[in-house]
Parts: sequence; structure tokens; C-alpha cells
Amino acid sequence: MATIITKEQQEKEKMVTLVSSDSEKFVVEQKVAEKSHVIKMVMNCCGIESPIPVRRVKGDILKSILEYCEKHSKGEAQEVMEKWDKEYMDKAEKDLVFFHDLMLASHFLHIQELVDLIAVTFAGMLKMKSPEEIRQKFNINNDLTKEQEEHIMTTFGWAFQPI
Amino acid sequence: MEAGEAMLRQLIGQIQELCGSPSLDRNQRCYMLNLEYNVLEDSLSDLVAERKPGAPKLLDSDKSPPAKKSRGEKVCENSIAASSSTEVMDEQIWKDFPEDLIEAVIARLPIATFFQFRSVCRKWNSLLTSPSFSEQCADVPRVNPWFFTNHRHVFTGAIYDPSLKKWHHPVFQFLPVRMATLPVASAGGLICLWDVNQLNFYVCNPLTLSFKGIPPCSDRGLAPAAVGMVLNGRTTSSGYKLIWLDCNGDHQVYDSLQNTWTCPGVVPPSIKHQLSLDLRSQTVSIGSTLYFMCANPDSVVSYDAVSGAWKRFVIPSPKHLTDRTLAECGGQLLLVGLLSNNAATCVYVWELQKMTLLWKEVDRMPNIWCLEFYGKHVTMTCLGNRGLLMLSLRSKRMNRLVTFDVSKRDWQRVPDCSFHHEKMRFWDSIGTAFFPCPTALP
Repeated sequence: MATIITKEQQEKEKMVTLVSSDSEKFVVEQKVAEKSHVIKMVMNCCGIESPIPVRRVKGDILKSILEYCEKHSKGEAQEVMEKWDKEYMDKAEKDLVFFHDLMLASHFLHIQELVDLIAVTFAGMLKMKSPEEIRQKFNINNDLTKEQEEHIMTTFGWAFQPI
Repeated sequence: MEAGEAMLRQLIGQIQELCGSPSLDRNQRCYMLNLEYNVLEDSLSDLVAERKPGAPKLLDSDKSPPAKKSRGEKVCENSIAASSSTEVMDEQIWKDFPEDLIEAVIARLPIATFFQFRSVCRKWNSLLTSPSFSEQCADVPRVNPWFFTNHRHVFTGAIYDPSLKKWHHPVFQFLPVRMATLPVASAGGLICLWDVNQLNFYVCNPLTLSFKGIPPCSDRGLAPAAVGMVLNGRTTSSGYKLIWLDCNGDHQVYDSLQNTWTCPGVVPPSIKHQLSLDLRSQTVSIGSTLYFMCANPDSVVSYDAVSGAWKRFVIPSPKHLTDRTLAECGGQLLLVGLLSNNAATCVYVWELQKMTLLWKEVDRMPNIWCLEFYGKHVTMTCLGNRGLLMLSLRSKRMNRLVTFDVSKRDWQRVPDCSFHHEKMRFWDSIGTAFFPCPTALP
């Protein structure tokens, strides 16, 4: 029993410092930082003694990401996590710029669970849009020929029927 | 996944190299083709380059550009601009959104929306053949299956999306109009159709309507009594198997990679004389194992499509059970059937208790729905038996379609399908559940 406690204490002591692009410092447990595949690999090869610069991610984004990683490293019940994730996303999607940066940063840091969560939320935001609105949003030119468009409409007509 | 891990191990080696030997020539870096790891590599080298100021800047310039845009710099650019005006930004920020992330989002759209968005541009239209998009689709968990159903005598298939509670009517141009084909099995988004007249199998993706005729097997002429379908791997890209059994239990296996039928052996005699199969009593597949229901004595027979092993489990059925069929939810075997008590008939669902080999009641159809059939002779067909069950209940002047969500214990009515409505008098349909996958290729 005693040895287990010592081990846990040792785990707790393993802290790592992450530095955002705007030089904000975050001291987190190693297991929290490990949620990012990229940071985990950097820690594996370079250790955790000196601060790790995350130069492409701003402080507010990194803070939010670490909040997610910390919650997800606790191993709580699935229902608790689902509720928390929903609230986390509700908050994030209120500010689209923040939401956008959060998605890019989680992808950049390889936190697959978070990328999936944001992708699902984003898909929910896009699903009511028309193809034209999508083109505008993502700056896409419609390079389909008339024939190709007609082919899509006839072959997959079932998908265009109103609910 | 294994390939991914190998990549990662290789990457760890690379970081160590990057950190350990500052004189490493940029050209020695091996480029990975896999886009995801290309991205990971970008991220890593970015962090590492920053951390080891003494090391040469390996990646900043002269990098063979990956097919997808690097997103990192945009994080900063957009964040700087973010302070100006949120509304303008909403229009601007997505303009340079990296393509791999767009694919991840598209893969998570509702299926019908995905097909609508094919008309956005050529690239989005061609996503179906993109291997990276196919991988993304495989990562998306599909909770509930859809259903494919058609009439026994004419081929006019309809698919039902339970999340939208909506029937879709794709036009199956590839099949002759008068052809009578029955959906008999499904796996990985593909369904297997049996042509009653030509005695041939077809495999098709009911979403994209891509299809393939399966070469005839040597026992041509015999009708299958049961058909099972299993995937070789995680997706249809690593192939699938069809297992064809006649009413004696003689069987053949088709492998899509070899495109041939083989006779993998004989059914043990102890099992063979007890098989009494019927296309209506659907098979269940869990992993590579198929399960069939047998009578006298009541039992479940399993066949492992990989090892070829047969097993039999004697499990007494509930008394007076009719129109029974096997079903599955989360790897657990279920039994569905009708029980009649005097003039009242009700649908029951049981779960197999693995320790005792007994069926334990899970749920029954709401009483108020059973009352509609009070005093009538009722028959039931199962049109889908995976996780979400679709049941067709018929009496002389009435038919009802219902779904039962096994994990939520939730009964729902299915809205009328126009084609079902027209054929009401001859209503005799057959169906299969399938997990919709736009990228599944037959």
C-alpha cells in the first residue's frame, strides 16, 4: 500500500511546462500533456525538464485545450464526460474564431478525441447549409459541368428530397 | 492501426535523430506519404525546431509541400486578425481551412447531406474514391443501422433512415425492372441481393448504387436457405465473404478478393440433420461468426467463417413462440418472436444468457400497440436484426412497421413508405439492416 502511494506521489510530481506562442506559461501534469500525441513524443525524446514551446498555439487556445486534456485524463464515467464535452463545445461554438483556432490547434497537437468532437460539432453546424453556402464559406469555385451536376441530381436524387 | 503504430515508432526515431544530431542533412529525412503523419511530422518538427535552437532549421523552407495545406501558421494569422471583427472573420477564417480537416468534418455529416454536398465542386464529388476520406468514414461510429427493404416479387427497393425517420427511394438502374431480388445479408455498408429467377447474387452499396454481380457458384440451381456476409477486415477494402447454405447445411464460401467460391468442408453430421433454415429467419453475424436458428431440438448453430468451425448450442425456445428470428445487439444474441395468449398477440424480445444458455425476456411491444391486433391472426417478418430491429407485423387488413432500439428499450412506429402503401394488399416484403457507408465498394 505504502509503495503505491509513493508511486502516485511521484506521478503527481511529474509536471511539465508548456509555453504558448504569446509566451504564456502553463504548468500541467505529464499525463495531461500526454493527451497530445505530439507533445508526448517531444517529452519522450527530450524529457520534461525544460519548458516545451508550443509556438503555433496562442495562450487562450492552449488554456482551453489543456482544460480538455485535464478533464479527459481523469477517467470519469462516460455520461459525465459526454455532458462535459457538450458544455465545452457549446461554449466553444459561441465564438467561431475561437472554435476555428481550437480545431486547428487540436489537429496540430494531434489530440484525436478533441478533433473528432469538434468535427462532429462542426458537421452539425454545416448540415443545414446549401451547397452554394458551403462554396462561399470555404472559398470553393464550382468547377462541375452542367452534366456532372445533373448526374449527381439524378443518381442521388433521393438525398435531395425534402424531409 | 498497426501500420500507424509502426509509423509512430519510426517518427520517434526521427525526433531523436533531429534532437540528437544537429548536423543531420535535411535530405536524409524520409518523407511519409500518409497525410496524417505528414501533418504529425510537421507538428513535431515545428516543436522540436523551436526547442533546439542550436539545430539547423530543418523544415522552415524548401519543404516539399504536402498535398494538404499546413494549418499551423493560420492559427496565428487568424488569431491576430480575430480581434478586428467577428462577423467579418466568420466569412474569412474558413477560406483556407485545411483539406484534411474538411474531410474529417464531411465524414461526420448526415448521409443525405453528404450526397447533397457532392454538388459543391469536383473535389467534393470525388471524395468517394479518396483513400484518406475512406479512412475518415471508417473512424466515424454509426450508432444505428439503416434498413433496405423490397417487395418479394418486384424490385423496387426502399431505404429507411431511422435518425430522420425517412424513407429514401434510390433508383436501381443497374437491375432489370422486373427482376425479383431479395436482400439476404449485409456487411460494412454493402448488401447482398439474391436474384430469385437467375439464381445469382449481387452485392451493392444502396447509397451509391455501385454494384457487382457475383459469379455463380457450382451448386447453381439450388436456392440458398441462409446467406451470411462478413468483412475480412475493418472496411470493405480488405474484402468480404459470403456464406451460402442450402437447406441441408451444405455450404460454399465466396471471397471477394479471390472472386471465387470454395467448398470449405462438410457440416458435422450431428449438426447437419438438425438444420432447418429459411431465408426469413435471418442470420446474425458477430465478428467472423455466423449464427443460425435451428429446430428439433431448439438450438442455435454457429459457423466461424475464418476457422470453419461449427458449433451447436441447445437453447429451449419460449413455449408457443411463432415467427421467431435471431437478432444481435453489441455482440449479444437476441431472439425476437410472437407469443399469443388467447386472442392477444405480442412481440417479445429475449436475450441469450451465456452462462445458463437460456433466453431471458428483455422487453415486449407496448400493450396499446398489441391491442390493435387483438383477436386477429398476426404474422411477423424481421426486416433488420442489428441493434435497431425493424419488424413488419401483418394481419388480414392491417400492417404495421415498428422499430425497437435494443439498448434504449425504445419502440417507435415507422412512417408509411409510399411503395409499401401501394403494395399493401400483396404486402410481403423482406429486408436487411445495413450500416450506411458512402465509401463501401462492392
